[in-house]
Amino acid sequence: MAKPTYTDADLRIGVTVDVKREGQTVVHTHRVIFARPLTRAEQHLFADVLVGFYYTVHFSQQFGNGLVAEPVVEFLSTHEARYTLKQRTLSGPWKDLLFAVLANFSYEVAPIQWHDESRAFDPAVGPRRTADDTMTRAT
Amino acid sequence: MILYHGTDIDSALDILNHGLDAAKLTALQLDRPTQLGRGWYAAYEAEVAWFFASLAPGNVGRGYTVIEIDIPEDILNQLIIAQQAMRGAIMNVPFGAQQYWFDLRAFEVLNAHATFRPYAGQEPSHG
Repeated sequence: MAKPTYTDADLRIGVTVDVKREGQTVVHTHRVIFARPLTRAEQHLFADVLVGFYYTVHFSQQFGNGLVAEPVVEFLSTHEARYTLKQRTLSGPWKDLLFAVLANFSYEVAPIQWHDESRAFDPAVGPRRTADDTMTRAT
Repeated sequence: MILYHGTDIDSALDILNHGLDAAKLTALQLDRPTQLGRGWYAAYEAEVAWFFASLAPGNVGRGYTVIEIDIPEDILNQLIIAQQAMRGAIMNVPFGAQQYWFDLRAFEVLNAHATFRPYAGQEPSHG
């Protein structure tokens, strides 16, 4: 059977993220939907956590250092937030740190139901597939 | 085994239609920090891949997507034994967020034995 040639029409395309180029920097805004309304204290904590992420990346020098400004966090409602990062490059291990920060916030403070098109942080999604479910073993 | 890779639209179509290209990836990652070193990353769960898709470096406003890679288990194990693939978890996460890293040397084997296809999962339901 001939291998198909794929086009945009074959893909599920994510469009939630707003990406802009400003000279040498990339400005990208992400949408977070929580499973319940957040209190004002929880909203402040979410913003503080993301600002803390920025300073950890900057001062640890362990996650790449492409971030050029503190994140801007805005709550559109009590259960929906947007945050904006400005950075020189979108590559780097800072993504794993951001993933961990959002995951722990979701599990410890308020469940994140959606992060853009991802439900990775939603505790209600249920038990997760783990690599040990398979016969694959890393050596 | 099915793994998931989140990336921008152009990169996804390039992989789907032409396979993994070590020269292109090397050029893309040149002088850029990477999580586990130069190579190709795939997540064990589609939802994790969607997170990384939304942060794809090549997204210039056309959007991003997730593609599937279907790898025979024996091939994946051979790559792991040959240290051309590595499984690891994203650290300090309260659930098992596993990802795989593939060395550039693994691309020839992956292109020969793995199937790349668009993500076949459900549409998102949020507004």
